[in-house]
Amino acid sequence: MAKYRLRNRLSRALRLPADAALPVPRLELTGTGDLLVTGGAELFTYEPECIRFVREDCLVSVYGTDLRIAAMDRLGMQIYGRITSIALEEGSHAAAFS
Amino acid sequence: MLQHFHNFLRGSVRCTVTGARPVLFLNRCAAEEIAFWDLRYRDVNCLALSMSARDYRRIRPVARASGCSVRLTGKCGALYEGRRLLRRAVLLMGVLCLCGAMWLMNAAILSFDVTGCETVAPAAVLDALRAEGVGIGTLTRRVDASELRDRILLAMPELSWFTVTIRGSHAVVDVRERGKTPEIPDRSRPADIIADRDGVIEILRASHGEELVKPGEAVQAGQVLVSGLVHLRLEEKTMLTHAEADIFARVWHQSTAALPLFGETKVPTGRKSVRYALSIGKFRINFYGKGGNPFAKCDKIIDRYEVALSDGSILPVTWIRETSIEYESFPQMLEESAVSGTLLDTAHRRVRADGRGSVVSRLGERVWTENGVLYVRATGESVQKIGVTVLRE
Repeated sequence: MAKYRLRNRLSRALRLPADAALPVPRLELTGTGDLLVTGGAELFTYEPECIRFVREDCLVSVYGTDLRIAAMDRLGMQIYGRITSIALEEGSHAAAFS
Repeated sequence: MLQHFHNFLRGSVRCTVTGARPVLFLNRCAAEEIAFWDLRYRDVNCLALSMSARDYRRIRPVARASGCSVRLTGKCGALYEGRRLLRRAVLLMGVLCLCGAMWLMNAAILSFDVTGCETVAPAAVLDALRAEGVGIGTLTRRVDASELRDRILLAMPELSWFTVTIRGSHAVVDVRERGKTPEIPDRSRPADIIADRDGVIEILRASHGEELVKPGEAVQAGQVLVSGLVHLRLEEKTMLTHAEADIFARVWHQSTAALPLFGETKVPTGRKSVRYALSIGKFRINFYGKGGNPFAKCDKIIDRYEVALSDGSILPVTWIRETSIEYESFPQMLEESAVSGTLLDTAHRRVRADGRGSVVSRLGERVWTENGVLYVRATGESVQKIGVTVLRE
């Protein structure tokens, strides 16, 4: 955690993009039906109502209906469907999933 | 859209992944840089996805490592479609023919259009072109317009201008004819003026030469009207000159037309035969067995359907329909009153044509029958020039 904070402070001091300096996924939500995830997240759960993915100690849960992964590769994934909420969890709880 | 097209070009497969945790398989695929798309959830243990055909060859170790099994459910893309289409010989032939036709439409001359002809027949120009090796089917890159112009102008001295413009598969040949140079009489040589037909002199105005006839006299063809041998009465000498004169005479025209009164009449039997053929350039494809007429006595009607482009040019593809209608002939006596009018018209037309452009007035007409043949004679008269210049020997 200390390492994470240090990298966070360093990226802000050097005015670097956070997703480039930190091991966190970058989420781009367009409306309620298109979510682009970049940053090399690892898929954890895949269901039409919930898609979970994790990177390092950041767990992201995407909730909605008819969710599906339109495309996925090493750099990220594209999620389509009716997204109702996105939940973020950090710390040891998230690390337990990974 | 572009991505779909790219996937179609490189070929893609559709497969189902079954296992205890299919997401492990997805993560391993991402780690191995195996991209996939259109992921569909079937149930907790089963997913369907698409990936490129090239990546599918690397999928077995990934599936084995993640404890999943992969089953191929479909293939699509240019690669697979192409292989499938390769088995359809007729389709391939059609594609090849289409490619050949497209190449031919751009590389060869398929139609000609000759413009600027006045007295020279367009067919004569096309014949000259053919003699130089340029015709329907000639490749356009083999046509050297400037060299062709030189050769055609040498071959056809009646032309003064020749140019050929090739637009796609259509060649436009533009010609200009050489104007006729009027004959300039050699006035230094002595000459007479003689009558070229019989008649009665109406007007005679001689500017050179000695008049041998006077207005009102009847003359015969070949008779000297104005002599180049002039008698100088005061000096009792003679001199030779080139006679010149305007001589008009009243001349008569006569024409006789004849028609046998015992003719034949045609009665259709009701039977007819229709045959088709396709003409492509110099080639003709007959869609019937043997040639020749299908009936011993028949009238043949040929309908030609040509393919014309929007600019008016005609392609060398013609659909030909030949309709043969059988008839039987029976002898029939023609009525004199029914055909004499037609014969009279013919005779008068010939008389008018004999007037050489001058006004021909009708003098009379006569109709008689002799040995079963109907004769019609028309007579007319006109005033016209009758003198021609003949050099003295």
